[in-house]
Amino acid sequence: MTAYGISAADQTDPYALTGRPSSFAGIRLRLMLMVSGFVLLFCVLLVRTISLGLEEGGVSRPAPAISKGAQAPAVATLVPEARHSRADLIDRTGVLLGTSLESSALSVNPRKIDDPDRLARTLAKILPARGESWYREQLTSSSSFRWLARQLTPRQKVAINAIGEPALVFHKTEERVYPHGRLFAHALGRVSVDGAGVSGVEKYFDDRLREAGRLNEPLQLSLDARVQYALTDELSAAMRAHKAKGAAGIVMDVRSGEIVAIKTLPDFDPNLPAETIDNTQRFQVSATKGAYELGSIFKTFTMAAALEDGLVDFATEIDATKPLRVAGGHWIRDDHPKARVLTLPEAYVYSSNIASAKIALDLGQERQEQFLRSLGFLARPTIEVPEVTAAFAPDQWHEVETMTIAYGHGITASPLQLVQAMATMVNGGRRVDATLVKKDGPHHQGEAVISPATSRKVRQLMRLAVEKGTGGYANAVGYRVGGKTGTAEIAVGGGYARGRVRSSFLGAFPMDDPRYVVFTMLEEPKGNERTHGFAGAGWTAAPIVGNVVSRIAPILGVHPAREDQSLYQRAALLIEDD
Amino acid sequence: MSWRVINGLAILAAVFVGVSVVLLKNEVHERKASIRALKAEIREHQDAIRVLNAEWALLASPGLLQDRSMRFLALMPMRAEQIVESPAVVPFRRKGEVAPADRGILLKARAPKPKPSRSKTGQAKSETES
Repeated sequence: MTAYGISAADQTDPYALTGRPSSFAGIRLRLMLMVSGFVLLFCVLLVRTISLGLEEGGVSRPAPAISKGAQAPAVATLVPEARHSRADLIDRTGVLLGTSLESSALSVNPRKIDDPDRLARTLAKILPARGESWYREQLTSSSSFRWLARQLTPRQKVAINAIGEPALVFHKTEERVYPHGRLFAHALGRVSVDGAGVSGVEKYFDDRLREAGRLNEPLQLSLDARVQYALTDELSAAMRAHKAKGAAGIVMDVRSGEIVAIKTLPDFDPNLPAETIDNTQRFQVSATKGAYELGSIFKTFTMAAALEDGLVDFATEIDATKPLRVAGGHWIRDDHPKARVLTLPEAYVYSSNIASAKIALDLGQERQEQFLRSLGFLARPTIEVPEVTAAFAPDQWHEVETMTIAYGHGITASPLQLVQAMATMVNGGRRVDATLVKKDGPHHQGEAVISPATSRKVRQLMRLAVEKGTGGYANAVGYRVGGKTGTAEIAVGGGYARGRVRSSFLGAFPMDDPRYVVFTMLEEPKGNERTHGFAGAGWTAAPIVGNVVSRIAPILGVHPAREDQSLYQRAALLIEDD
Repeated sequence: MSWRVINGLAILAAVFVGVSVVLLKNEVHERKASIRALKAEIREHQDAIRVLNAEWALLASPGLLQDRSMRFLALMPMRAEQIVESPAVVPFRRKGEVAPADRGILLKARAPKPKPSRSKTGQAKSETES
């Protein structure tokens, strides 16, 4: 074992290590054991090194091992966690509605600036959202920190970098981006600068959207971007044509209660900073929060209750010859007076206030209240936005109110409540609750409010109101639209404002097997040349529904078909044109 | 075999093992660095994908598509009469009837106003184009 320098030591000084010749052999043995131990350990090391080297993706292989399928579980742990702090919002077809993107904000230290005028001029060119004077004001301020802009586009960032001004500082921020801009404004709502939901779905689902483990899991809404656009396009066109102050519209699936489109105008761009949004304009009209007296649409519910209770049938004749005098010296008159005895289909199609009031009297206050309650009026809707009407019931509910409520006065409801109730009317009588979240699988069957037979009768009435009555312009060829117009004078300080109306139309299609309810409303529309000066719902709100249905039916998979006239024949025969 | 040989082999083995361990360690370092780089790259790509998704949603938004379609395409909204539920109801072309030439879906660009100096054939062409 010369390698360890022991043999040499043995020869010169045999006792150097222990001093005892008798133990020399023992030392040698122990040394051998030690060395063997080391050799063994080295061997183990050798084998391990070689085996590691030979393993898949070894030293000689340039490709990284993580691309191998066998190591997939390891790869999964490698993928970095989401860096955004809010989950995405997508529509029912997967279109992105809201997302959080990394973005840059720009601040400045005004004390370090030499030539604020020139910098202000350059900045105003790159970031035209503010004027030159505003930038100059910021740049000449005496503080050492000022925000200049948020949500810079990559191009703006490059341009600002190119200025080469050391006083300008970029900050990494996160911005909530709504690619469709105004389209979903009220429904989605918006988030504050620090990323908390302040309205709409963003507020209602704030916790869910910020839940740590579900950031990569988008929230799928029931809305459909294409339908939403068609509705918005038609509503804004009508608003322009009739110089209306606002408009609202809803499209809802009658079976599941899913809201496919919901729009309120005027709207706002949720991508813009909060201070630029005019709040007085924002909620002047609202599809979910607004409470309106919507007039004749309510006759549908009055007639449905009476049909359900067997108080009337199609052949029942109601005397609408003379206006009806009610307590307090008021008169109930018809807007389209026929001044004769009307059958039930006639009373509905010609929208007779007198007939509706008389039917409601037969119904009684208690049954009317109970019926409206079971349809979801008088209660807060359960839709997933915070902006909903509170539960509301009239202060007094006596005979007079029973009569006026029969034709939609003296009771307020939000468009959302109306749409829910109408879905029940046409879907076979099942209560549905509106939802903004996409439902998968078979939907829950709500409680029965009216019988399928009554529902069928109501559908006949609604279809006839479009074929022969005030809702003619809602007819979308091939799609069998049915519905009811509602023109209500706007209540102003205890009375009604003459000439200022709220026109609405509540319809459903296709009437032989309803799939969707469509609601449109115009706030204070003015008549124009095309409507011969009329601003009533039949002239202003009904055509929107006609146009919307023609546009959305192919998208929603409703096939056009020739109509089976026999469905409505019995009721149609009871309508006499004059 | 003498001890000398055994010792020599042992030293060689020790050197080999030492060098391999160093190499292995280096390799691990490199791998770790590449994993870090890959992670950073994945993150970057994830962010880029998010931006592209948002951009796609913006560019494919129905309003924008309608605008582009109206400006560049000779397509009209579909009417209910044009929708058939089964191809069986589409009649066969009659014998001898020639299919109309496919005019394409692109809107014909507006022909420039004929200039007085233009030849007659040029004018005629621009008229047919418009």
